Amino acid sequence: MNESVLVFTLITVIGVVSIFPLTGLTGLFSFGQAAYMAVGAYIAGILAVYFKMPLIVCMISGVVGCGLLSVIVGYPTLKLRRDFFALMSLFLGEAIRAVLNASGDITGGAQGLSSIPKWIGLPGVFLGTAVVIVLVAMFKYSRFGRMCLAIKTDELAAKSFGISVFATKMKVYVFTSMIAGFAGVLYAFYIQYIDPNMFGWTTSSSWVIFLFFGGTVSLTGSVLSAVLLTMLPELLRFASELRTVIYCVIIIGVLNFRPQGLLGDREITDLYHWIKDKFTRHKLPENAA
Amino acid sequence: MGMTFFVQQLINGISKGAVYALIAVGFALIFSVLKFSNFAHGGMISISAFIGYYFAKTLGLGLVFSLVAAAIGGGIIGIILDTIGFYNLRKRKSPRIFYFVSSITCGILFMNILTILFGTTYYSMPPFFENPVIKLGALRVVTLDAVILGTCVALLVVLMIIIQKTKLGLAIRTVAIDDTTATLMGINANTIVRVTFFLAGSLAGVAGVFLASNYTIDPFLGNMVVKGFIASVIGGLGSLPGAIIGAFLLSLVEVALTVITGDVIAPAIIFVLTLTFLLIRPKGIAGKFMQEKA
Amino acid sequence: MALLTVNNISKRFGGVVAVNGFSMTVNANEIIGIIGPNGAGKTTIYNLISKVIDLDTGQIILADQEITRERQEKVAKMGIARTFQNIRLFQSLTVLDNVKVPCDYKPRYSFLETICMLPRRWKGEREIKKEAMECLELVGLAHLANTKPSNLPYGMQRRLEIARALALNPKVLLLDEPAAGLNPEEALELVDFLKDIKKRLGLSMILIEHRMDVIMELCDRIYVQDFGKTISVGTPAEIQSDPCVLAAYLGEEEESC
Repeated sequence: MNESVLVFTLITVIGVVSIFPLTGLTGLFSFGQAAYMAVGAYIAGILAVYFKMPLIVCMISGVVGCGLLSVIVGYPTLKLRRDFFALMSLFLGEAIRAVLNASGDITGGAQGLSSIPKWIGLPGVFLGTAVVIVLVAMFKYSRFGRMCLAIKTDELAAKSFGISVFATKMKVYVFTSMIAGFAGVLYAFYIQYIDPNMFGWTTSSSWVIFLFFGGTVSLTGSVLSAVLLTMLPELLRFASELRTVIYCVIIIGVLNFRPQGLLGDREITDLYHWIKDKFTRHKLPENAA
Repeated sequence: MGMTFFVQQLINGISKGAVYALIAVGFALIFSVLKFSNFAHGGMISISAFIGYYFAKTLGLGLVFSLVAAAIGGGIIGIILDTIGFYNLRKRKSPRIFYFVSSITCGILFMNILTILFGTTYYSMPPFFENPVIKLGALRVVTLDAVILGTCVALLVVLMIIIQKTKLGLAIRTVAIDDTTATLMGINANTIVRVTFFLAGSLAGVAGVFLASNYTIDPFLGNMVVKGFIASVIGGLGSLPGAIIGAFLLSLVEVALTVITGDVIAPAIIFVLTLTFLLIRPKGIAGKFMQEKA
Repeated sequence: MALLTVNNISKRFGGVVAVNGFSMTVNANEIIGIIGPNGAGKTTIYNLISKVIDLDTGQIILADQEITRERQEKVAKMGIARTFQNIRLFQSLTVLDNVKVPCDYKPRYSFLETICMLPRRWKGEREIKKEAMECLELVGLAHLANTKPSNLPYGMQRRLEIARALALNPKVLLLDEPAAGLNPEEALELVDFLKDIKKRLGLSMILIEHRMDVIMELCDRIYVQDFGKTISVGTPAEIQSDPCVLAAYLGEEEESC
């Protein structure tokens, strides 16, 4: 198997996992998450290429930069209704792309930024993916995850139990943007070349599609579906448009016939408990005697 | 820059506004009946543009035929869209976000199917008029712009009459308020929804042909739906007259910005303006905001 | 000194005056009833007290602090919990998680501590689980902690709503038609249950109800509403013999009201 296919799949996993708290748990649909990936990638890349900063500095700057941007963007947009928020996120993506294209001196414009040092290889991406999955899992099984789900289900009821909806949304938004930025950093240092058109709203949309396919509230589902839907077409060598059509058909099928997605709300930990149950049941007859 | 230039730009802006109004009204129609933003509207626009192109270029049938064909074709696509995208969601009473995702996915689907069928080369509509420009004194009005303006106004008037004065319109408005109660009153809510999609699709069809005549045709022409969304939002989501006002406002602002600041920055400024507007007055100009009660 | 004082609150929706100068006092350890025909503005009163909507006029004071201008979340944190006329449980959360949610606003552990898996996080979660399970045990639903609310029968869903409201540790509990849809036996159980938690938790409650058997059994005082106005206030005995109240319910005209 081609190493770059695997890496690209893992990066996509990080992307889908990044929108899991925002879209899956809180119900905020954003077209702009890939834009944060771009921001992370470019900040890290520019620091490495022009300022010769070490990896750690580039990585932290990329992620923190995304965090700062998301605070600035999130503050006005999260107050809006969900449709409006989605629209604004679309604009954000396009605005970032326009800015990147226009600031050719620093970013290389449409030509992109190249000769980024190859500091990340497959092991690095794998480690990054694992870390991100753990962080998001910890988020889900915490009071923050619960508050997000409450907000998604019924904002008014959530407020009547003391939940500060806006503050919670901000926290999720900043968190998810930084993860997306992290994906961008890894990507930049692996592929060594980035350009503004790699991170458009179609990428963000495909992440949402993978999320829904796996099961909106299932982290395991998101990971599985990202892996499946990215690797399968690569292995089967589909042309790019046909692949998108197939993604769309799959999602429409899921929404129509199995809206809870592949896994519904089951997680891999449920499997562990199920197996544990089976074993304890086995033991019981001996103890009962 | 004299008066002529100013008036010229004004006419240009108004004509653009008319097309945006068509898109916005189609968008607002779906929003008011189904309470969600139908991003597949863009896909319908793209498909209708190609239908219009087929009738105009390949069959060589002229503007009127192309418009009618695109309107009917768009309407049918609207019904297909409802069937694959939203019918089951209504049956299951799925949460609103599903409609949203479904509409975006269908939109992407339509545009990508077009890409597969037609590739990404640009097509252009054949010229429709012998005299591309009408001269009124010192003014030169592009014939197409005049026709667009006239047709859009006429269509919008007809639509308003249908909505406000006919039984069908009453049924649509009733389903928009409460589809369960409407069903209890003997209205087949599903049929009305289908009809609404047909209407919205037809509007998208006409808009598609007009957009195609002004720009080149490619599968992603439908991304213009974002303008319709903004116009709808400014005018107040769900309000048809509001959408029209919003559309004209948007187009005039766009023309003004392009003249003042040039093409590149204009989208960014519109972003900031729309955002400010939404923060100050989320209701839009004419919209009604239902406050949630417990 | 009253626990909750409501002073002359009003709310108008367009041309309709839903609540017309309503005043009420709730003392510690009291159960107050609000009754009246449908459309009398009772749930609107709750929406005003819990700040779901803003007041047009009037004042609300909770335990010496004015909450008239406060936001919905703030008022909940200050001690007003409510249930809803149409059950508004978080259907995508388990029964236990539903009851954990009201415990979540407290900053027992921070965001960073969550994702870095620091000890305070685990400790905080254990506390929350303990508090939530206590509330579930109070309503007798502890054994169903991991089911989904949609799998519960209606009566149990109502009990879950109450458990959830109790998890907020309120000073005043607003119940919106808690006995709706219950058969007479279940209604009696509810009455005993509410009396029990009033004693155990020292809670004050306000009750909107249509069921006279429940209201008369539980309430210390009753406010009778009609068309947004209070037409009578008194103990259950006083209300039952009040001609104005009878007139409102039976639809006759009574001049001196």
